[in-house]
Amino acid sequence: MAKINYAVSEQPVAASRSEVLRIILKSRLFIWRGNPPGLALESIALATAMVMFLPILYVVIRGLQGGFDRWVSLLDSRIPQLLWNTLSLTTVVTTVALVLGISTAWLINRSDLPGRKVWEWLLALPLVIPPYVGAVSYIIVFGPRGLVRNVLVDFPINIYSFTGVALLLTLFTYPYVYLVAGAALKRFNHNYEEAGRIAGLSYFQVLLKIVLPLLRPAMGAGAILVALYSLSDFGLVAMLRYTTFTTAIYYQMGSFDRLSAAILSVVLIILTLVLLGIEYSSRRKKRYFQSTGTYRKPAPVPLGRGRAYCFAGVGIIVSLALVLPVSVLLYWSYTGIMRGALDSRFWEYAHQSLLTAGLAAIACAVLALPLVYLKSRHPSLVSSIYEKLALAGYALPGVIIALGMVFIFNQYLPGLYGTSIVLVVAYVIRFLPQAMQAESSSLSQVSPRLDEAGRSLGFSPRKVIARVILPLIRPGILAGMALVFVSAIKELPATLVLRPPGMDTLAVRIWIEASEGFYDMAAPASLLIIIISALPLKWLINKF
Amino acid sequence: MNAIELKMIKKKYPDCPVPAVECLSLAVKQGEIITLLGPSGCGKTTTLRLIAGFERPDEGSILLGEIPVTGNGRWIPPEKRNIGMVFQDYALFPHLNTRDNIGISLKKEEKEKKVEEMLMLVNLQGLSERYPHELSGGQQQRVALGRALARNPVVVLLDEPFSNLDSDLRNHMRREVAEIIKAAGTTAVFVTHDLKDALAVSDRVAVLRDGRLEQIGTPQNIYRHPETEFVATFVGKSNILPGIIGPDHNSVITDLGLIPCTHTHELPAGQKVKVSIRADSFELDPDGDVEGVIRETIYGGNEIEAILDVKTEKGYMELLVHIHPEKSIREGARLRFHVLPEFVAVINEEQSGAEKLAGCHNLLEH
Repeated sequence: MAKINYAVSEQPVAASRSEVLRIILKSRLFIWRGNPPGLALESIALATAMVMFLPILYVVIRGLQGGFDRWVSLLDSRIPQLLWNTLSLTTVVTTVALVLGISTAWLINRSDLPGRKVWEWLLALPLVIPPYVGAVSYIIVFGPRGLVRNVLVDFPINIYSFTGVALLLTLFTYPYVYLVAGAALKRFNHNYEEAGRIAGLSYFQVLLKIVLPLLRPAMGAGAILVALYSLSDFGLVAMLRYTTFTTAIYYQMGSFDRLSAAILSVVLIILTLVLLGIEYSSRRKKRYFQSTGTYRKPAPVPLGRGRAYCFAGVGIIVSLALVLPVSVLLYWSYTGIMRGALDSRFWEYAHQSLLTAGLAAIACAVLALPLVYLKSRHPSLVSSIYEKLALAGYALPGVIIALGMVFIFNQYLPGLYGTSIVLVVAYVIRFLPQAMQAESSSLSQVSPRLDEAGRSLGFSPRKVIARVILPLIRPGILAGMALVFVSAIKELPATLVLRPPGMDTLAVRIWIEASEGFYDMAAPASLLIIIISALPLKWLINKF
Repeated sequence: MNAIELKMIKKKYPDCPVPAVECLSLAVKQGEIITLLGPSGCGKTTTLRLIAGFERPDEGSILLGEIPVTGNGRWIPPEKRNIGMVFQDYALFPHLNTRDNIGISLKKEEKEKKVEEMLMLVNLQGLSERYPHELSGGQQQRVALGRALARNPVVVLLDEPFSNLDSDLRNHMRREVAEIIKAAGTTAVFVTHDLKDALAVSDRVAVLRDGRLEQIGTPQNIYRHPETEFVATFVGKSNILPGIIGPDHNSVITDLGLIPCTHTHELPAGQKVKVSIRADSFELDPDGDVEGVIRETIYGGNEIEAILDVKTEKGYMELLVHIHPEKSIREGARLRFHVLPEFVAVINEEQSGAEKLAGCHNLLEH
């Protein structure tokens, strides 16, 4: 008969030391509910979580230490205006995006709008256009030296206004609402609508009284995405010369007034936390459970006379959000390339972008794993704390991360300041949660019974991860890498602040060239970024 | 030599008010197939996971092959216990084919040979290249079994192995799995809530209830001579009647009359007891002592289950009887039965509340 092969564990220790050891081990067992992870895994997760959180913590501490006088002066002079600017922009953008997103989602999924199959993905495509790239295309057309003004000097629309900023930001963020609402409508149990119709309600009343209320969770989720995005957007807002907290923080850093920047950051962090708090509490309250009926494709609601208007409306949205930017950029890229925009410097920038983004993607894929594994296989208070710390960098604007890193590296690691390592770390802090989400959803499909099967076959937990888990979550790892790669390529504020002298990424070049009016140089880089952003689109849409 | 020994195991999950397993002591002989049988929530799966090492007991100790693996401050993790486990959903690695699933735990030198051996043992030759999703339920189970046995484990643990199979396949797989395990010479612990699974494959059956061991014995003993009312009614269908031990110690006086019973625990005559009379104990007999009217019948193919209304001095009594399917029984018919003593047993009274709180009591092994 086979013998058990093992090395005797837990040797007896000297009396007093063993008591302390026993208490430590026992409390570890208790915290982890009887199932503690390996120490190596936990240390990596802890270290990652701390690194993620440190810059923000530092900013908050510096801001709070800013001194009473500074706080008061800022509260008197700048903060009210910034609050008004930021909050009014966020509110308007969120509201309009909600209206656009829900109505388009409904039109595509529930009505008989002609051409639905094509509109369906056309309406989602604006997601691949980073807002500041979209802004560039509009500046090209409507800006002071733009096409329009060459023709009609007194063209009434001024995009350098609240209306312009709000409109453009809405155009490039409504797809979040559109996709979330669309997914909810697809899962919708249409028996409710039919019950309403039988009870005598018209189509419009059904929409108002039945569909919209049941869509509230989706509306909330989409609204939060848009609100967080507009709160934290830098590129578009800055290019259109509209001042919000993010641009103010950036320019304060530029004039080396880091203390004011820190104080403004604290206010922005509070705003973000309030928003997240609203989202969290509304998510807990709205527990609508629809009974899942048999899946039948529902009969489309006839639009009747309104069909032409709806068609036109959708057409306008797609033209403004997709066709205009892309065609403008195509045209200017063409002229730019003809004039030699694709020179060696361009490829240099492209190469640097790809390198840093690639490094960040790999780092994120690796570092996300312990956090995600702990949360799934060793659920406890501790693992959820690690997870929350790591998510901190995701909701907050890139400028704040950049500020925090400037503080820390200047103070403690001056040798590394000004190297591209700093930039990669910033990308990791900002985008690790994307890798975490992708890997987490893959891991959730791997049953813990497979882990146990591996253990029962003699695999240590480490071997289980290597031989069983990793091969099975490979799609999630790759998706996470792709998402981080794209986000890093697009990233602007942190890159502007932290990049080593002489190193420019594609995003930075777009920013510089657009501000100096060299649109033909900015356009090819913009197009390249759009193409790269389109790569993980399928996964992104499936996620919704 | 005992392959597994559990000594006074207690396990309580933090969110549950009652312990999942309490006062559990069990010894499994080497080469034996034992089944833990009980309703949902009785602690049988917890016990299995404790043996495997996926849970830690709060109190008590476990020995595998006479080596302590937990208890008294020791802890041997699952991967070092040399066990094999077959999960309810088989848990085959979806990214590996049959050969790699079975051989995954083996070293390269011995993998080829051992996998061949296992494929022969579980009767899956020719399917070594297939992936789990290309196999039927029964085939997947055999791969899981082969994988668990490949390392010659001290013991193989099976968690509800037949619950995912449809009934005709179940019958076949019960026999086949038992044969494979016996051929491999391994000790096995099954967990199931299905009576037929337990009776078909086991050398011994341990009935668990609310985390405690109710009774342990061979399938025949458990069935014929239940010790408690729970075992009597859970393991097969039974009628429980109060009675008094008869003067010859081989019968019990009940409202039905004098019932022959050989299993009386040598209790004195006149002692008040409860007796379990299995539905199979009644045989149609025109001269029988038990007379009653058939109220309901359910035709089951291999037997007819009938509810018999019997008139006694104290009023009417309802009995569950099993009748051979050949007979044609009409509702309302008046029939007479006599009682076969083989399936009549005196059972212990329920343990009183005070005794339960006081601690674990010793169970006699039969």
